[in-house]
This record gives sequence, structure tokens and C-alpha cells, in this order.
Amino acid sequence: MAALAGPALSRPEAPMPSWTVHAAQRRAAMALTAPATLLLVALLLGPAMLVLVLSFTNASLGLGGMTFVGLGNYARMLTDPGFATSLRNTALYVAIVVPASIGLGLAAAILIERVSVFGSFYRAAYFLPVAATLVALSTAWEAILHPSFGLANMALGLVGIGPIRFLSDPATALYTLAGIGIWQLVGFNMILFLAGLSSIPEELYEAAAIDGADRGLKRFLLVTWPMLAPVTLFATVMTIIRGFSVFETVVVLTEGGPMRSTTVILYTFYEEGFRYFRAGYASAIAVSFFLFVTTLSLLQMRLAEPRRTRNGGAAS
Amino acid sequence: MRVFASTLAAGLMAAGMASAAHADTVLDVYYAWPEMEVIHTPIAAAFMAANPDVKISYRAAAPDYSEAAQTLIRQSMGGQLPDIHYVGFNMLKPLVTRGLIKPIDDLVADDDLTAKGYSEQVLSLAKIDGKQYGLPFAMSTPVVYLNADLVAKASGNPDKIPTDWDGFVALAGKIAALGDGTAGMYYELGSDDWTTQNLVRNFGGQMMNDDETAITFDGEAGQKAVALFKRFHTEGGQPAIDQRSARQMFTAGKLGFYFASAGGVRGFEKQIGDRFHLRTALQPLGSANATMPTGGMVAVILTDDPAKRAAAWRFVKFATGPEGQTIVVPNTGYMPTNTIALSKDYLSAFYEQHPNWYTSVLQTPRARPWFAWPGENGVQIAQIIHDEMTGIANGSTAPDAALADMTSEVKALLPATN
Amino acid sequence: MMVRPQSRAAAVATHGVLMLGAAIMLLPFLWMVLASLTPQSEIFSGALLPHPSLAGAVENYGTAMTRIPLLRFMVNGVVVCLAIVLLQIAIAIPCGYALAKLSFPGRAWLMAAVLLGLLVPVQIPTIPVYIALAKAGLLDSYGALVLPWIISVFAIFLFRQFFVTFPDEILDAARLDGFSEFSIAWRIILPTAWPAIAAFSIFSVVAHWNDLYWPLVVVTDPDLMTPALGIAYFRQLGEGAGQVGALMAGGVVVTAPMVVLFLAMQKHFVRGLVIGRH
Repeated sequence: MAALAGPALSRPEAPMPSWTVHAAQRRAAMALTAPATLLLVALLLGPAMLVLVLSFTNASLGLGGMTFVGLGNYARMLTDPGFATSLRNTALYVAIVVPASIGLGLAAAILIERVSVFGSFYRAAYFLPVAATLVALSTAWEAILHPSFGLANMALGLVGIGPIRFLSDPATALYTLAGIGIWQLVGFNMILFLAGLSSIPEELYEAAAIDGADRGLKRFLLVTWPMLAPVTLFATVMTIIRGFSVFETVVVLTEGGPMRSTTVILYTFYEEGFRYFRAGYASAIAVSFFLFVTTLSLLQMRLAEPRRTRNGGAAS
Repeated sequence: MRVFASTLAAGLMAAGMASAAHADTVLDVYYAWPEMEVIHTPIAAAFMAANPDVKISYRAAAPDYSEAAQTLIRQSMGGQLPDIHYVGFNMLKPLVTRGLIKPIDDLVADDDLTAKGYSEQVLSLAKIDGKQYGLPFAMSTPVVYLNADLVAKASGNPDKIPTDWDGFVALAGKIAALGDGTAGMYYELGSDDWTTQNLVRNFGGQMMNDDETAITFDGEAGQKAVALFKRFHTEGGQPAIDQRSARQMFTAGKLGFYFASAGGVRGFEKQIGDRFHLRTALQPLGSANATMPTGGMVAVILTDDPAKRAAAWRFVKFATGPEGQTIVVPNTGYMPTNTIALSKDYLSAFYEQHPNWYTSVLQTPRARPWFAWPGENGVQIAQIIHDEMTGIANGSTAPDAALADMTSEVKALLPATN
Repeated sequence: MMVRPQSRAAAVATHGVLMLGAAIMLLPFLWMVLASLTPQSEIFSGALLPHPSLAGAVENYGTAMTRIPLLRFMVNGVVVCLAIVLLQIAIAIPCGYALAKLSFPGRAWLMAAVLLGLLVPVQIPTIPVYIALAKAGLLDSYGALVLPWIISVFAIFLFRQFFVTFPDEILDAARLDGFSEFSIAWRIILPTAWPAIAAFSIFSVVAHWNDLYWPLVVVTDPDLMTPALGIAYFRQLGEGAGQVGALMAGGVVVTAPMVVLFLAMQKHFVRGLVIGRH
């Protein structure tokens, strides 16, 4: 959430008078954090480490015994055409969904800020897909996109286009899923940007107006965009993670098909681990999944860094 | 609506029975294909009415045979296997190899199955290396479903559709030429490689040789099979769309011929209602020695507990016996696995009144076991075959190239000794 | 941001764009609702949108209610989501408070672990967790649906951010009054945390109500299915082809609570987003 984007992380720790730091408080702190620490290790970090270990073995779900295979799984990943396809599909999906849903989310937020009526209606309408049960709504999309008598093709037919086999054509299936992904994420980013916009101090716009940047693109580039930097960063990181984790629409609508054109990394992980029982190989996929997401997120933070420091002073 | 009501009634009956009667043994039963609930619920109700000491409890159905097998393998890790499972013919061998399904020869020896209507031919479908692993519960072959109205409109004869592929594809092409968004045909690839095996067998071929040491589907029969599948799309007016959409087109009356398991007759009739005249027909044949893979499932007992095993044996015999089969056949389209079920007391009158059901029975002389891939990778092999066939459908891979890809990819997934 | 006077033309254009966007956003919802009210035989009849009728509504909702244990799915959803969110909050708040306001050995490590946890996609640890649940015989149970999610690093982080700004003077005064750290956490800090709790709860509930991945892996018993898995299961009944109307009726029933929840909590949600941005 926006908490991530806020400056609080870099805030110096609250001053702690020395007399409060005594054994009792220390014990209390340990007790307060014990359940969380324990569960963090048992359910998250421990299993994550185990995944790393499994990724160097040929473990198979349901069969006892495994042997250490070193980097075998990783080497296999490099030569496995199925994994390469899955990676390419995921990269393409993320490359479409992230910029589009952020751009559209920002555009929606800016426009909604400007209207004097219907603001809350738009807000709700754009956000509904985020709250909706994707499994159910995917089925509605499937019917709308039906290759012969879906609403989309009937509408396209009226203007002389089509019919398009949205989900049945390997050339369009991934783009169709990306479209549904954008539909689902625009509202999330819109809400983030609305929160960001509302926290931009009015004086900045007044100051900008004195400098001649009183409207349009100039004003946006001088004030709005830099001020939204932390939110943009957060939205980007969140959308990257969501994009990489696309799963529901693939399971429900295409099962990776047609012709593997919509296999994505999480689906391949599920298939290898829970359908083909290759726990070792699936773990290696999981590790690389983690590396991709982390690298991209860190890269994004890195890229955003100069922008943040330049305008950081004004953000608090 | 009537079937719906009777299902509901059976469900309520089952629920009422469960609370009324004190059941000594509870049997956990797991099956594939959720829509088959229409037979499983009434079978359980009828069985419990006759056996009040046993309660049948169903787990959620698996979407298909391979998913069911995968779920079983996962559940076996924590000892959470069901007591009884209806395993797809193609999944029997992998599960036996993994040690999940054990022989029932001791139970068979104490029983007189021949007198109870189980033919040697049917029993052999659940036999591996001379050991009996279960009793077949439902059998089917792929049949042609046809929209008789569209066939007539394209000046074909719904009672006599061509029995050779050239004539058949030409007629499908004529239906597609009717316009108004009408498609000629749809040959379903399903969720596994069953219908692809069917095409290879249709030209007299097989997937592997008899001792399973070498792939044979890349031979002449396989080449003809993929070439024909291509012609379905280029000449027969088969749209390259997913199966769900195609089924919707067919039931909406916009598609001429639909190839699928005979087990779906009842489902199609229900969905189509009186929108058009639905018929079934024999598959055209590409060779005099054409065969067909037998689809369907085997009832197997997974529990080791002696008391449960005895109760499970009673249930399995009930479900595969005449009473169970008279529920299975009319509600699905499957062929009965029990000869007594075909007699006058049970189904013979039904078949006379419902010729759509009888097509598959007429195909039985050509029915052969559904080939199960050796080794651990059967599910993935089926997936690869499915994907390559889709490539042909979409025109992105030439049939020969797809067959070559299939061969090399499948080879890589077969056990090293092969 | 200041709402500046717009020209009439600009306002019309703005509304035009926003309305078009809203129409696309709402289209699948509209289709779902209409289809859920339309008799099966008329859904793909060539009309742009399905034509609802009372008979259609009765047919579809009747089928959805009887073919699948729809109400049971809903109850499961409520039980699972509530259990998850309550445990997440109960575990995260004390930890967030300690991280924000107390000094103790290992604090930097714990904070690092939380941040690291934020980076780990939730699906990564599922194979070991699955194996553990399977070995423990816990598959197909509420436990399997709830347990893996009761620790939320996101919640810890959020509450920590929220508590950091809490005035230390009040805490010190409370300590002087003899409050223990526990009572401070639960009686002084907690009541101020409602905006954060509300915002986090919406996120958590929506995420777990709609999650398909984990229930798909651990649950096969229809009596334990959560709404999303239940709908995926219903999709396969009758091979989907003949059931679109009933399926959409099920979709309406499981989607409605989340939509209502969001609309009702919209303000809290947006306020929660501003946490940490002072």
C-alpha cells in the first residue's frame, strides 16, 4: 500500500529515552513479537529456504527419496522449451499490463479529480474489478469474447471487423488475457493515484502557476508527476508482482493453451509441481520466479531513486 | 428439468437416508467429470437403500481423468486416499505402477463374476499382467453427433451420413457453406489424447508397438490421421476454436457434426432440447482394420481396511451390475459393462426407443483398450500431443511437422529403456 | 488538488472519456447479472445482451442453488476469510507495535526479515507447506485453507508504519501510570489503529475470498470449497456448455458480498492508503 511509498521508512527511529530501555520492556517486546517471528520462520522464510534446497534435488511429490542434482534443474530450465515459452509469455504479459494499467489508472485518477459530479460513481466503477471474484468474471469475459456469438465479435461485426478468436487463437490469446489483467488492475492503481493526488499541497500548484505552469502538461510535469513519484513507484512494484503472479485467468480460460501460448511462470510452476510432481524442478522455477520479481522491483526502485531524492524534500 | 428433478429427489433421498439410518461403514468415493453426478448420486441412493449398513460419501469430482489421478497421487502422500475411485482406463496403469491400486484377485476368486454378467472381454479392460484391478463401470467410443436439420439443409441425408472420410468432409464443407455463421464440424481434442488415438486407430495404426518398446504413431496411419485432421479445418469447415466455444456453437444449432465420446448423449440432448434434431452416427472409417480406443472408467478399491474393502466390493459390484448400469446408460450414453444390463428386464427396451444411444454399441467390435503410456509422464505426453494437434488446427504447424515434433517430444518423455 | 473551473467542452469530454471507461469496467458485471436472469436457451440467441426474465432468474438461481452447495461455499468463504484476517491482525499488531516503539535485541533482524518477506511472492513456499500439510493429514480441512496465511508480513509492515507516528509522550505517560507493554499495545495503540485495520482487512478478505490457487491445491471436498474454487468447480459441471446462466447466477452470488463490502468500506480503504504518507 502507499505506506511502502511513503517516506516513513527512511524516517529516523523514534527517540527512545534510555530509562525506558530496561529488561522488562525487552521481555515484553520479545513476547509481543514471538508469535509473528515464529510463524514468519515456520510458514514463510523456512519454507522459502526449503524451496531453495529442493531446487538442487530431483524430489518428486508423492515419491519418497531424492538425490542432490546440483544445478541440474537450473541447467534444464535453460534448455527446456516449455519454460522458455512460459518466461516469454510472462514477460510479454507484464510488459503490457504494467505500463497500461498504471497509465490508465493515473489518467482515470486525474480525470476523476477534475470532475465535480459523478466522482464517486467513477471511483466505484473503476475499482469494482479489483474486488470482484476473477473466476466468475473471467467466465463473463469468456462469453463476451466468444469467437462466434460473443458481444465483442457482434460489435466488431457491426463495423466490419472480425470475427476474432480472442481466446482460441494462439496469436491473440495472451493479449486477451493481458486485456483482462489490465481491466482488473486499473482500479487498484487509480485508487493509489487518487490518494497520492489528494496529498499534493495546494501551494505547490499556486507556486507553479506563478512560474507560468498553470495548466495542462506543463503543470503536470512540473508538479503532479514528481509529487506522485513515491506512489508511482509503489504502484509499479505492486503491479509487477501482480502481473508476474497471473494465474486465475489462465487456469479458468485457457489452461495455458492454445498451443502453450498462455503458459505463464506461475502456471508452469503449478503444472510442474502439482500436476507432474516434479517438486525439485518446480522449486527451481519458484526460485527464479522470486529472482525475477525481486530484480525488477529493485531495479524499479533504483531507477526511481534520483527522482525521489530530487523532490523528496517536498513529499513529507 | 425432469432429470434435474429426479437428481434432486435422489439427492434428498440420500441426505434423508444418511440421517435416518445408522450406517456402520462409510465409504469415500471419488470420480472424475463433475457432470457425472447425475449417475453417481442416484447409484449411491439406490445402493444405500439396499444396504443400510453402508454410507456412500462422494468427494468433489475431478475435472477429468488425469486430474483425478494427480489428485490421488497427492492425497496418497498424507494417507488421505478415498476408499473407491472410478479411474479412467488411461490412468489405471500409471496408478497401478505407482502402487496406489492393488489387485482384487482374492475378491474375484470368491465370487462368480461370469454368472453376474461380467464378460471376459470387459474384465480384461481392467486387467494388467494377468491381475484384475477393478471392474469396468462405463465404456464408450467416439461417435458423430449431428445436427440433422443442418445436414438436411446442406442436402445430406441425416439417416445415412457418409461412411468414408472424403464424403464426410465434403458434406461438412457444404454445411459450413450454408453461411449465417454456421460451422461444418468439430473434432474434439478433449483433455487428453483419447481422440487423437482414435484418429490414428481409425487408419489401422497404434501409438506404440505391442511390447511398448517403440513409437508407431509416426507411421503411415499417423500421417494419414494428422492430414485428415488438417482437412477437417481446410475442407470440412472446422473452426479453430476452443472446445467450450465449439460445444456452445453445436448446442446453439450453429455446427453440423461434432465428434465426442458417446458418454455425452444425454448431456447433449438435455442442452439442445428441441432446438434441432440431434442424431448420432458411426464414425467414418479410414481403413478396413480401423479400431477405436475404449473410453470410460474402472471402479477400483483403494482401501486396505478389511471391513471397508468388503463393503466397497459390494458397492463396486452394485455400480457395475445391472442396477447400477441401468442408471448409468440412460443418463449418459455410455455402454453398459454388464451383459445382464442389456437384457429385457433392464435396458433392451430403452435402446429400442433411443437409437442415439445405440451407435456406440454398434461400434464395439472395433473397440480396443485405451492405450496408456509407459512411465511416469503420460499426462504430459497427452498434453504435448494435444498442443501439437492444436497447432495443426490453427494452421501454424504443417501436419507432418507437427507429427515429427510430437514424435521427438514424446520419445524424450518415455522411459529410457524404450 | 484544486478543482479549477473547466470549460464546458472540456467537462463534457472528461465525462465522455470516464463514462466510456466505466462502461468497459462494468460490462462483464452487467453481462453476468443479465445472463444470470436469462433462460439458458436464450443466452446465445444473437442478441447483443441477454434478455432477462423472471423464468430465467428462477431457472438459473434455482440450478445454482441445487447443483452445487452454493450457500456452503459462502459459509466456507466467511469462515476462512474471518479466521485468516483475525489471526493475521492478532499476530501482526503486537509485532508492529514492538517494531515501531520498543527497542529489543534482534529488532533490526526482524525488520529485515519482514521486508524480505514482503518480496517473496506468496506462491513460493507452497510446495514445502503443501508437503507438510499432506504429511500431517490436513489436506481437505479448514486448517489447510487458513494456517499458511495467518502470518502477513504486509500487515506487520503496515501496522509498524502506522504506529511509528504515534506520539511517544502518550506511551511514556501510560508507562508511568503502570501500563504494561501488552496493555499499551491492546488498550492504547489498538483503538487508534482502526483505519489501518479496516484497510488491511478489506485487502485480506478480498484476496482470500477470491483466491483460486491455494484452495485448488489443498481442497477436493465440495463441502470445504471457498467461493472462487466453488465457481471454478461449477464451471466444469455439465461441461459448462449448457450452464452459462446458472454459472453466472453463482458468479453473482459470490461476487456480490465483495462488491458490497468494498462499496461500504470505500472510505476506510482510501484513508488506509494514506497511512504512512503524512
